[in-house]
Amino acid sequence: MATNAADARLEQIPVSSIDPNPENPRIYFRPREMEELLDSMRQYGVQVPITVYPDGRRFVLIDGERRWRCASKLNMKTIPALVQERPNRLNNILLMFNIHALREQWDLLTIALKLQDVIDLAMASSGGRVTEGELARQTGLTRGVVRRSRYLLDLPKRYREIILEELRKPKREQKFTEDFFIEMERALRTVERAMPEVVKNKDQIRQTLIRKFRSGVIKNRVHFRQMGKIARARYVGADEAVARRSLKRLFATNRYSIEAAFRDSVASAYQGRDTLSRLETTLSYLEDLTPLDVDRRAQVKLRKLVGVCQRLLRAD
Amino acid sequence: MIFQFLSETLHQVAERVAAYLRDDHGVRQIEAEVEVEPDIQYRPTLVGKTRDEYSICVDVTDAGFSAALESFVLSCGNQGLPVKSFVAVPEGVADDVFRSVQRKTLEYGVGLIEVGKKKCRLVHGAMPLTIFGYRRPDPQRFPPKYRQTLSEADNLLRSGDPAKACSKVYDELESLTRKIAKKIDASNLWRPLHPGESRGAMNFDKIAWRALMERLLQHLDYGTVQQRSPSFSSALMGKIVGIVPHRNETGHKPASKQALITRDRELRTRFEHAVDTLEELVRAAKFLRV
Repeated sequence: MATNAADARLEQIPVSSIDPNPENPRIYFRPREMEELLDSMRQYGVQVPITVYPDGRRFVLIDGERRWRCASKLNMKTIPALVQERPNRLNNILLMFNIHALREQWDLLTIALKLQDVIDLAMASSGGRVTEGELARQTGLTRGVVRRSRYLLDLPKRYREIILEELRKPKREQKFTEDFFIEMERALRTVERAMPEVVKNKDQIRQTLIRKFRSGVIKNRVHFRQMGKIARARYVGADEAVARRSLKRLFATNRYSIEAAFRDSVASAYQGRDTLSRLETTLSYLEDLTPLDVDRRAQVKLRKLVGVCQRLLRAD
Repeated sequence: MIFQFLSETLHQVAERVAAYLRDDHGVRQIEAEVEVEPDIQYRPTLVGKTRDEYSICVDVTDAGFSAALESFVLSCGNQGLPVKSFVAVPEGVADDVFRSVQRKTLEYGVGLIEVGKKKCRLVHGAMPLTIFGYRRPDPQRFPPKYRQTLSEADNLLRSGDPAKACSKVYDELESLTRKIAKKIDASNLWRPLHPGESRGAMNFDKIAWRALMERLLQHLDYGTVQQRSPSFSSALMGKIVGIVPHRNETGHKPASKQALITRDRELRTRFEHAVDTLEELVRAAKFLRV
């Protein structure tokens, strides 16, 4: 990615001669955050210059849209700006990714929507597929963020609109967040892969799950992870038929929660696996010890452990 | 209208306020986020003009009375600008936010508009910032019977009608001087007449205020009166005579922005002066039990 930062010059430019960048994917500016910035700028002025590129007699923003908006609200006549050369469209978008997204100012959906443009432009210039790694390198995002963005991009439009609607609210009031949809989509994909016959109408299932979350039947978005675990019943030796029945009931009825489906199908198998795994870890640790490693306090604990083991084995 | 700063969720609220100001209050040239004066460092959400040259500034918010708005009001007040500032909040905003906005707007003489889905409600009007920082009357310095009038006058001033506020205090002053004249007459506290001088009968309820004040100024037996109340002086009567001409001027509309600023500054001074004079007269005339 070619950047022009080295050639940038610092100038005071008229606030009224600046236009927002059409490629800026930021969609909403939360009022409270804007008020805080406004108050800070009112007291201390613009501490960090904005970044722009010239476009005829005007300038287009690369970085600093919130500062620019606040400067205008504060009736500032000029604003300090780093003036760079005009980038091409792909570089323009990538510049903004590298400037903004790394500061975690953008909402994930905002990133996702713009990432689609990057994918399209990059594919057009390279003529082939763009990998997750390449996207991460070019945009400065982590691979995790790129992957999570792709979950959102794969969502039907109406669900993205639900997220957009939520993004207008302050963070603490948001219910159907990006994270909710990512957790749901990730779990649905797992179910789709492990038990494709259960997912006959994916969109209907989405609507049922959203309804359940709204009504509180699903209490927490992380419960979707249990949905994925149900679908992977065979990996823990649980009865797949029971797991399949639980998932079907989960997707078809309104009052059956993910927690209940998990409990009814695979909970004991996962608990068994968990117990075994912990025992193996403990055993492996104990096998590596020598008598010299065991002091008096450790001896007391070991004797207690032996007692517990004997009680458990007698019960067997 | 295009808003750069206002949150998108409040755009419709701002549009409704603009329509309300235009249709119900005749505010003209309403624009979004433009400067009020070049050296005022704040652009309210809406800025318009009234026919009598006031700038109407509205800040639309659902978050409260911001520090930036506070600073804006103070700047306009310090410069004595002919601005009436309002805060508009959408109906259904949290109770604590509404209460806090209401308290702050009253404190700063800023108007408050509640914006519903179909109509807007003016909760209270705005004080012209030309009279910002005026000395508010202290009701505790007056006997109870005057307090309501003073409170009403203060409210008129704060809700944007300084002319009526002055008029209210003048009415009280006039009424008090008529009562005083009747008592003086009943107690025969007039001075002896000079040779060739006459003092005709006077209907103290109907005679013009100026004539009544001239009678008091010139015919009162100050020697006797001042034995009872030293502050009941010819200077005090003269002061009231000086107020009389302003009594009928207050309603005239100024022709320009500068005339408006001058008029409001004068009204502010007159209001403070009238309240002070009323207090002085009430104390001086206490012995008359009017």
